[in-house]
Parts: sequence; C-alpha cells; structure tokens
Amino acid sequence: MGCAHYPTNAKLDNFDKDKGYRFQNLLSQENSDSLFVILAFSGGGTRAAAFSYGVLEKLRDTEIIWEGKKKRLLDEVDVISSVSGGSFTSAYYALYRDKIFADFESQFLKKDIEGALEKELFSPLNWFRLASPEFDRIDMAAEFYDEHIFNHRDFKDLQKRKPFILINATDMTLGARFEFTQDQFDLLCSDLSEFPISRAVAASSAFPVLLSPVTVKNYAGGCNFSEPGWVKNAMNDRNIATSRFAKAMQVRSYLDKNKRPFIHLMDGGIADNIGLREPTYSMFSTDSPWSVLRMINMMQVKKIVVIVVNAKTEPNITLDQKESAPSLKDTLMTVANAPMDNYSFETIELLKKSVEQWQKDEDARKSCETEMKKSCPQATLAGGHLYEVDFYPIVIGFDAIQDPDERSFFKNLPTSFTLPSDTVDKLRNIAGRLLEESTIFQELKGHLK
Amino acid sequence: MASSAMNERRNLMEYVIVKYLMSRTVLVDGEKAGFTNKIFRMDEGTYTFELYGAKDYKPLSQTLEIKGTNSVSPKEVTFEKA
Repeated sequence: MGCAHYPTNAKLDNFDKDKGYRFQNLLSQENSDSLFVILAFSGGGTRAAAFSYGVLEKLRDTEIIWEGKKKRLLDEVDVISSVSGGSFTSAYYALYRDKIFADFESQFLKKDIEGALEKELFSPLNWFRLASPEFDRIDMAAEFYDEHIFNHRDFKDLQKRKPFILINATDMTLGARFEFTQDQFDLLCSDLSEFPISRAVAASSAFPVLLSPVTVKNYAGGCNFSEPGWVKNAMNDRNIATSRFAKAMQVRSYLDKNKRPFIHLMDGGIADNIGLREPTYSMFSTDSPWSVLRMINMMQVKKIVVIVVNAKTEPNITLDQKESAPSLKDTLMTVANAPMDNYSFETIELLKKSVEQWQKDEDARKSCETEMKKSCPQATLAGGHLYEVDFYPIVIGFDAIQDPDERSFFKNLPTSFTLPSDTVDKLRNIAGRLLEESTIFQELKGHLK
Repeated sequence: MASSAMNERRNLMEYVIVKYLMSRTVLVDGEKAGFTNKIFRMDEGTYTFELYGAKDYKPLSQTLEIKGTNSVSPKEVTFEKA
C-alpha cells in the first residue's frame, strides 16, 4: 500500500515522425484543409467544460456548404486546443466524437465530480496510498477520471482523423506550455500512445495547491531523435528574434535527461488560460509542428476560423467597500487569477492585431500594384500576387451578454467540478446563443452557403 | 511545443521570394513552406532555404536572417541552375 506509484510514461524506442499522435498523421477524410477551423477552450472547471460543449452543439447544428458539399461546421474542425476544464470536453470529443452528445452530460457535466474526488480523498484506503511520495492527490484524481469518465483510454485510442486535440498543461520549471502530443513527447523520448487520456486531462486541470502536479519521466537521448530543423537556426536568434530563441532554448532543455530527469506538469491555465497561444503560433510561424502558415504558403488554406471559448468570470468582489485588509483567501485568488486574466486578454488582442496587420499587408501590396500599373500597365511586382486568406476570429465570453442580470449570473459562477444541472444547461444554451449573435460568425455563415 | 508566456509577443510578418528559373517547392528549415517565384510569409528569424526534389541548383542551401521586410519589399533569395 505504501508503495503506490503513479503510472510511468512509456519509453520511446525509435523516433519516427510518421507515427504517433501528431497533426500530420491524422486523416482528413471529409474535413477539408481549405476551410481551417480552430477551437480554443479555456479553463474554468465544469463551467468551462459546459460552455465549450455548448459550442460543439452549436457547430453540430450549423449546416454549411463548402466546395460544393453540404456538411456540418463541426465536421470542418481541424484543431481543438484546450486548457483545464475545457480539456474534459476536447478529450471526450476526440475519443467519442458524436457520442459526446449522448452521454457527456451524464458522464461528466452533471456529475458531482468534486464530491466524488473528496470521497476518494477521505477513503482510508487512499490514505495509505497517498502516504507514498510517488503517489499524490492528482494521481488519485487521474485514476478517478480514468475509471469514471475516460474508460481507461490512452492516446492510441484517439480517433485517427481530425480534429487534432491539443491538451495543454504547464511545465512547472519553465512556466511554459506543455502539450500532450507526440511532437512534445519526442523531446523526452517517450511514447505518448500508451499515456492515459485521463492523466493528460488531470495535468491540464491540476490547479496549483488544490491539486499536485503530474510527473512524467524524461528518457531523452535514447531514441535516435533529431530535433526539428528550425531549432538550430533559432539558437542564432537571441538578438533578432528573441521569442524564437527562447522557444529553441526550451526545446533543448528537455534533451538532457540528467538535468531534467522528471518533468512536473500543472494546470495549463498558468501558461495560457484560453488555449490560444499555440494556435496563434501555428498561424503566424513556420516553426510549429502543425504550422498553418506553411499550409497557407503552400496555398492549401482559403479560410481560417478561430473560435475562442472563454469562460472567464468576474465575481462581484466588494473588497473596496471595506477599510480592513482583504482576507488571505481573497489575496491568493487575486494573485492566482489576475495574471492569468491579463495574459488571456493580451493573447486575444494579439490574435486580433495579427489578423489586422495581415490584412493591412495584403492591402499595401495591392495598392502598390495598382499605383505601378497606372504608369506601366504591363508591370507586375516580383513574386506575383500575395496569396490571400480570409480570417474569422471569433471570441465568445460572458462579457457579450446584453442583459446585466443574466451577465452577472454567468460572471459569478464558481470554478469547480460540480454545478447544478440547470446551470449546466444554461451554459450550453448561452454558448450557442453567443456564437449565433457574433457578427463574425454570421459573416462566416453567409460565406458558407 | 513548449513556449514561455513572456516570450511569445508576436512580431509583424516577414515576406520572402525564393527565385529560381522554374516553379519548385521551397523547403524552409527542412519543411515544405512555399513555392519559388511566389511571395510568401514567415516569422522573423534565421532560416535555411533549399529546394525540394532534385539537387540540380546552386547553392544547395542558404541560411539567412529574415527581418525588416514587408509585403512590398520582400527578401529575395536566389538559386541558380547548377
């Protein structure tokens, strides 16, 4: 009993880019590349899970015509990037697809997960197990998710077709995003295919202090891994492209297993609470393993839809009504949440500004061509026309709710793994309604008829 | 891939044209990332450019710093028939 140990991640014998859970290894089938749809699900416990589930329902019910074929918008989703509570929805959908609409509510959304976890924690059987230094509260939670939500499924059980699911956690040492993809596990020479889905979701939602981090073993150096080509070049970018240099440094930090024999992972919300950073990186850099920018340059993508599902709340705090110093709990909550909220806001701004700049660049080139043709009609700019892509950045959150009372209701919902059944239903419904009310979503639908 | 929050501020896009006498796929750091004689987008940084397929061109690769370009004045990378 005292020897309880978390399930250790498997060693990878031979690095092979053609194997494992990566975007490039998933089949497209009826899902075109030309309409590229990315969903980003935020953290926020069951509130976030239900809100993102409501978006899946809405996309299921949205009929489109693309390249002459009638289909559901849901069937065009290419990537879902999720954090914490949102990872329950993304992982469940990645495993079961449309079955999610039949049983996700009973399996997760309307279950008292928090109560069940507390019961496990106070079970005398688990006291002995938790006494082991290699078995912690998060491992117990992962076991519960494995047994009661994800039915002992591993990454090899995920469907071999799009969408590609990015379950995001945070590497405690780097304070950086850590994804459960084979591209990330290659760095550790570890085989993701045997890794339980429940453990990835547990890591993604391991809120500091409440839950302990998930630990993975680093086997780097023993699988003939060759690092991506960009890393060597990016090591020269310290002064000209600092973010690229920093990414390369992070990649290389995993390659010395003697320095980092174990990687400790906690809530993905610490590094990015809306799951949008990796999609943004993919859209504007050729370095990402699933670079959308490379696909654009190869003229494979015509429209990019990004739907950010942000379940951020803003509780009515009355701190400023009192002269006395705020309580320790209030202080800790502010310390934990304010930086995440600020960073999420900045991430969304970054996406919007990047899209605006992209369009300005297209316009600048067109204007230049027009001016040149006025004096020399035969002239063309070297490189020809800039390949154009239509962007649809859609952000849905409770801020957009018009009615103040209704808005206040949603913005005061707790972050927990238990919510009343009717609250879950309200979250599902408001998600669909907010998406429908989005002017960009309406514009998109108009273009997909 | 992992990346720190602080270091993820986006830069503006960079623009590149890889010139060659015929249409070929361009490899950027070993990945297919565009076509010759067509302007394409990149992020700032140092990259290695090659052509996909037959090695009938010279130089066989060029490693260059891409920064400070725009959609009207892209960086030109030229390969010749070997």
